[in-house]
Amino acid sequence: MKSAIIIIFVLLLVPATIWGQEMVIDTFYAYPNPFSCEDILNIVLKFTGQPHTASATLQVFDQVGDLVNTIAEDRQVTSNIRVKITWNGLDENGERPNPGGYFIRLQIEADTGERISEIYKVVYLEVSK
Amino acid sequence: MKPQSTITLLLLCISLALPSQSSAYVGGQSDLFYGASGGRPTALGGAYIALSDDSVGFNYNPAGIAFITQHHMDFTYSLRFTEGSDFQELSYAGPIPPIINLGASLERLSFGEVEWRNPGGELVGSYTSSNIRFSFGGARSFFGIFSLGGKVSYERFSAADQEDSHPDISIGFQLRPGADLEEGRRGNFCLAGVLYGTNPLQGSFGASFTHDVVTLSGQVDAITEGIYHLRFGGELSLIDSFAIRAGLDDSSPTFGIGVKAGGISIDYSYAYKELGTIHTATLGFVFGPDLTSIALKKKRIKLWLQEGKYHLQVKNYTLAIERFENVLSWDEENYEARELLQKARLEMLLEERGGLLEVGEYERALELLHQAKDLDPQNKRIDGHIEATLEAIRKREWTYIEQERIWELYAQASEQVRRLNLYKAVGILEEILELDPDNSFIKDRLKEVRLKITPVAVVPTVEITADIISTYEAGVAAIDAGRLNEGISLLEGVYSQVGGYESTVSKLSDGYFYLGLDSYSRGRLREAIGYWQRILALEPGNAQATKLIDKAQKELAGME
Repeated sequence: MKSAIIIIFVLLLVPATIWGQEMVIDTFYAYPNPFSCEDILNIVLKFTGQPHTASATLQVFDQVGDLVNTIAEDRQVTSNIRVKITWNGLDENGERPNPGGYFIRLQIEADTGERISEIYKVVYLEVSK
Repeated sequence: MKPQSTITLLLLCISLALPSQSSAYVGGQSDLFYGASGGRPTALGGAYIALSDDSVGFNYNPAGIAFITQHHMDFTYSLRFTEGSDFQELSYAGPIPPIINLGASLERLSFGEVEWRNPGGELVGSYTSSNIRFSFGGARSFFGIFSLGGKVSYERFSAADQEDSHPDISIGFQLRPGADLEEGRRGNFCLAGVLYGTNPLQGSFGASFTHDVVTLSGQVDAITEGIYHLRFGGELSLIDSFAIRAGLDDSSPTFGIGVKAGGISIDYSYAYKELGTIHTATLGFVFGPDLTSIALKKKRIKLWLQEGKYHLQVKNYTLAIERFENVLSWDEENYEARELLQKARLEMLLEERGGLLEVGEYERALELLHQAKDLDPQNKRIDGHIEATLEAIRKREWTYIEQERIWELYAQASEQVRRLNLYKAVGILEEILELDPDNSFIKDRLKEVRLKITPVAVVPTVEITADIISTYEAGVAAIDAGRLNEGISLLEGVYSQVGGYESTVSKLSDGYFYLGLDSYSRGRLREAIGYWQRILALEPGNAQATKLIDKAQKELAGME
């Protein structure tokens, strides 16, 4: 009887502590912000929780909601490991966008299909800061 | 060149000169403000350059404001994707006759609070970012169906401690075949094009189609070489004050509703984009007098008069009245329209009166005639119609009373026949025929009853039997006892067989005499006369009967 209770306790506790820890975006920012055509925008991201690895997608949208560029697509990232991805500030056609605010959306997707996302705002300036 | 044309061209020239001053925007991205204005345009997926004829449409296609005839003012607020990111716009468009229609707008696209990070990645604070744009322009229509418009904008972008500003231009056209017709019959097709931006110059081309309660619109925005943005929208407006909308902004679905009443409108839209959702609401006002251009008014007035005359000719009075009223709404002093309107109303009333008379609605017909008389007090024709209608009413009432009386008398006559009071029945039936001389039914009945009464003038020669004698005696006894009807019936039987046997004739005359007196005393003069005439049939020289008949007939004449 005693051993049965221990087994049930372990079955309930272990997934919650080890396998069941929720995937959370821990760090997500970009610098320099604001940035200009002379800069490379550095985007830093980190997620925690399970699973251990997941794929990350970074996309830039303008204020109208139109896609400007996809910076990274299905990049493998590891839990608790900071990743830095850079963007040269150009759109899909290799041209400079208009000065203004832009949304960078990070989506992290696990193999199970679980997906989390976050939006970060950056401003692009035509002139040097 | 006319001053109006000069001003239009001047405006366009200023607009065209502006690109050389602008170099700030070099990217290939779409205009940040484009597709943001207005709850209605955004619900239609931004496909608005061929629908634009209000102040929110000014930023889509300035040419559209050439067709507006009243002042429009709209306030738009839009929540975009994330907290702190929103859009606000105050726009105006209105007619300034006779030169040009003007439009202006002030827009603010706020990006909200942004993290400020230095090149080392350290967080050093936060800042706000926004784009503010002021636009001003005008548009003019040509021939009532084509319009050309332009606007100049000044946009200021600020973020952190940086600012940037630049001018911008937009030039557009709309072609609306049939736009010179009145509301409800306007051309339902529109072609439109717009050029905007600076370097590179971007463009849009679109079309819209309206049929009854449905409006469809589509356009393609050529953002840069090889990149196109497609927009489609549809609107369903089953009643004037309410519309539902849906659209596609490239691949993003949009939805919306709009309500309007008394010059105030509220439009809401919901756009689902890959990045998130956009909620947009617009509060709009339309105010001031209708200032449709004088040239257009003259053209429409002429057309309305022509159409009104045609409808009057083919007796389509409702449409004729509508056309003449349209003319008078714009030109109160138009004598011709006033005359024709009165004529159309009069004819419509008379036609309606005719229909009412057919179904026996005389009082309503008379009412309409009095309305017609109010319209034209001197019209003798209406007087004639009133007289005729009054006569019809009188006749109908008289006919009704007459019928009642005939049925009453016929019931009495039938009763008398049943009681064998045939002479009485004859008198009653004759009275009916005086009321209704053509009543063939009564004529037949009278004939039948008369046949039952043996003609007094014909006396066949037969043998006097014991039965006849006993009948005679019973008849005399009945007369003497005052049972006049019984006695007369028996003695008439005797008379029909053997003629004036014994005192048959005198006793019959006595019976007729007293029955006549009885009827006379009850006021039934015709009946009384009928009895006394029977006496004369038996005894043509009976002075008393002649005198009584004469007296009764005079009284009858006096009564009539």
